[in-house]
Amino acid sequence: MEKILSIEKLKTYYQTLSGTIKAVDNVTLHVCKGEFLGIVGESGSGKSTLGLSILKLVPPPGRIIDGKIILNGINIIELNEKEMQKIRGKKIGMIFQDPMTSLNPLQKVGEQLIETLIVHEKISKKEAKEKAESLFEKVGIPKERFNDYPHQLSGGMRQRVMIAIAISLNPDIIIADEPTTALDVIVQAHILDLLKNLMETYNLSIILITHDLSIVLERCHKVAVMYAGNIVEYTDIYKIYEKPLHPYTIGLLQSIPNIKLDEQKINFIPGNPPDLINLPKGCRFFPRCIKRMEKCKEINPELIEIDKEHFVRCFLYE
Amino acid sequence: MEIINFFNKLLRKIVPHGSGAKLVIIGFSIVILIIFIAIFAPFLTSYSPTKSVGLSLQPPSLKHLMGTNRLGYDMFSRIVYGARTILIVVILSTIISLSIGLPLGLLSGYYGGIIDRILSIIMDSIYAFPGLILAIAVAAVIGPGVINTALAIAIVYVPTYYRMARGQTFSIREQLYIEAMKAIGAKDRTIMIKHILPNLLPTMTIVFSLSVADTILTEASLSFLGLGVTAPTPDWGYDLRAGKEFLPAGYWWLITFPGLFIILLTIGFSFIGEGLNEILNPRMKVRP
Amino acid sequence: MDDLIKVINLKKYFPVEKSFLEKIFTRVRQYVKAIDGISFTIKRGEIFSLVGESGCGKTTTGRTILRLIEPTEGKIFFENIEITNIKIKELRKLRKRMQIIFQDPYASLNPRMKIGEAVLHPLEIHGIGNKNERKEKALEMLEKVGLSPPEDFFNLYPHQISGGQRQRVAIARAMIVHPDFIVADEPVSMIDVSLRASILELMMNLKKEFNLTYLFITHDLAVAKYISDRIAVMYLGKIVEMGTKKDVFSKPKHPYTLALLSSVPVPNPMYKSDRIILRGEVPSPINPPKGCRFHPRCPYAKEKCSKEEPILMKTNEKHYVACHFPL
Repeated sequence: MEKILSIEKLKTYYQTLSGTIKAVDNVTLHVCKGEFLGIVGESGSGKSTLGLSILKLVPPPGRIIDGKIILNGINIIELNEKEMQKIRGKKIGMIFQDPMTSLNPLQKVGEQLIETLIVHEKISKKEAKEKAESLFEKVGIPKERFNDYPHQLSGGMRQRVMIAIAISLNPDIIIADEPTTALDVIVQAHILDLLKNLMETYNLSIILITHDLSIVLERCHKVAVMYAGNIVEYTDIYKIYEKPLHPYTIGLLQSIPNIKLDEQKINFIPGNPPDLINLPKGCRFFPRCIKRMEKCKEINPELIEIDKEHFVRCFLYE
Repeated sequence: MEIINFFNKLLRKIVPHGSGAKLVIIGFSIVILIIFIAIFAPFLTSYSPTKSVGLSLQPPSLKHLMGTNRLGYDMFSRIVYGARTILIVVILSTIISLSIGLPLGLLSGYYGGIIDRILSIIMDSIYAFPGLILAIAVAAVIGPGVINTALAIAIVYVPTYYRMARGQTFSIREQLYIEAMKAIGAKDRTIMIKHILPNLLPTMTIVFSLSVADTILTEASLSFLGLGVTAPTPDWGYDLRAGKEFLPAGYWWLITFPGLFIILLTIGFSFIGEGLNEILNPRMKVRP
Repeated sequence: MDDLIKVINLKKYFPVEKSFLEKIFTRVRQYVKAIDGISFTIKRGEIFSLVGESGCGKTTTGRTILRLIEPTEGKIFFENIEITNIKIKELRKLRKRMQIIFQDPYASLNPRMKIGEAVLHPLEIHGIGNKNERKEKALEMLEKVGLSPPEDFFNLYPHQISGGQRQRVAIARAMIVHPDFIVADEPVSMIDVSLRASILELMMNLKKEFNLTYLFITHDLAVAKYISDRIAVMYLGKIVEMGTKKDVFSKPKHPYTLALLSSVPVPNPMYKSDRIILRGEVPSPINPPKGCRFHPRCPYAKEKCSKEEPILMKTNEKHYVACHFPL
């Protein structure tokens, strides 16, 4: 399978006066063409920073310290901001949690899409308008809304506008960071289905960053579980459901209520979310792990392939 | 206020961001020093600031460290005792302004409605006047003197504290924990005093520090114009005025020392205000 | 089990801000009909959930029952005494018995107050005990909600502890006056998934120990299913279905409930979705559709639905639905 995006040993740290926040610490993963990857993590996991790193939009005092991000053969870490601006939108599409901050509140939504098209592709305004209208239709926005302002649209509609803009330049990959977290469950289902359909139609790759493992299990192909800046488990959704390896993944799966079950005991993971400034010496999950061993206190395990395409970072399996 | 802005810009060039604590320490040291001078005035000089020592218009010498003025008063004594005057006026006027402006702003912000409308109109009208002009007008009406000067200045700054308190109260009032307090059954009075007031204090402190700096200059200006403190009370502003006409004749020490001390005290309070602002509203600090 | 809370035909309308020109040229007042006539009872000792999407009125309902928001119309009863119009003084006394836990644990705590002081504050407000007794009770409560050792937590500030811990503080603060009734407004929505069960478990344990009654407000149906005894589904200011957990989740009778349940993500990759795709979006609560509010989006709508508004009616023992043609 052709690899679209390859992240190798990525490190993104925030240098603050209180200490160094190791938000992304030695992350390696890849996305193939047409693949739907879900990156799942809770607070303090570093997942949002990972998304921002791929787009090179990490705000100061954050910086990519080390590692490679290879998009279609080019290591984008080496590109300067000007070159990066050509990549963003054209090669990597982005969808964020709150469309209100990404959309210009003073410009009609149709206009914003037209503008994006004209700036990046040298086409006439007429052509751009046609393309924009067709894109709006593809993402399920009624024609009448073309000339609305962002505040006149519902949250779900705004997110559809964002999706239209994201796919408009035919990127190879889309990064969606918590795109449905602020939306109601019915709208969430529509938006996620839309993303999946577009992915299949255009043979796109999508990285979905979320705290909700359920939506990843329902729709994605692959899942990477993040904890305290590390990837702790990385495999396809069937393997992770049937044979979860990392104690954190197991704990997470046990803590999600399943609406289809009548009698269910849901568990929780003891302890508190990690403090990225004061990380433990060894395995970062050690303070909360029920299967911990002496070894885990001293050394942080490496991410290794245990099974075909099933990676885990845990001494239980070494 | 423009002088203050000028100093602050200068400050920024010399002292980079993140030095909040340093600024506060420096500012505090200056202010403490002047307070010290004011309290221990009798120990610092044996001369009286309001009795002639004989020779007038003497340049600085070992006997008279800052020279003497037209009436033969020892300038050093006038500076040292003048610290008392300015500090009394400034502290008194600030206490009066705060005691009126803060509670009114709090009530206005908390209850809104007709109370807020009426108070806002009154306060905005006062605020609309350029500070110095208003102080002059009030001083002209109630007459000169230390207490009166304090009153005149106090009136000018009431709207400043009112607005700050009102604005802050508005935003704090909307916070979820205030609603939580209501749900627990807290009385309005309890909420205002125990929950809103403590959250107002940080901003008030900053407003205070910056307003005090302005107050000093207003006091100096009033006295400079002859509307503030009456002779022969030692007052830096008054001395500045009195000494101005002697400058062309070369008697530089008459205005230099008062002017210097006015600037020094202003800087002291400015630094405290700026420094506190840095500490209480920190920006994301970057390590090199 | 007696009725602890009874709500009859409750309405809350919020006036819409008019622009300056509108104020001059129109006399018509527009209202956001957040709650538009709902009735239900909550029995002592049960967990009653109110579920729905954003804008359905569930949060407003919670606050209105406690009179943090004043109702526009309708009646509210606590232990069979009408509290809709009682004076502030009387209401304050009642506050000891009805408490609320909010969605955002950080925002619901005063950032400048130590945790211990925040927890004993309700005792101060209601004049319970002396200084030492209050501190003792606060320490006890902190221990009970799992913040151990309580002496350490007593002196910390909210920003020094995690989100889950903050919610425990909020729970301790609500519990310290030993209320009978607690409105829990999305209490775990802002907590990490892996920690939610611990908060829910705490709430259940406290319920057993103190014989509490909960009104549990949430948009997360899976959590509602896990924790509730009875549940009411709201849409656009009205209750469309109400019944026991078993009835509503296994045999939903309202098309909206069915669509809602089918949209909830299932954490199982092998599960084949039977999702019902609803047309359109939730209409504005300023001008709800005529007749049944759900009819423009309902896959089963008939003519009657656009003309006549259905009333919430019993279909069996404890199962109510507001639909002309229940499933």
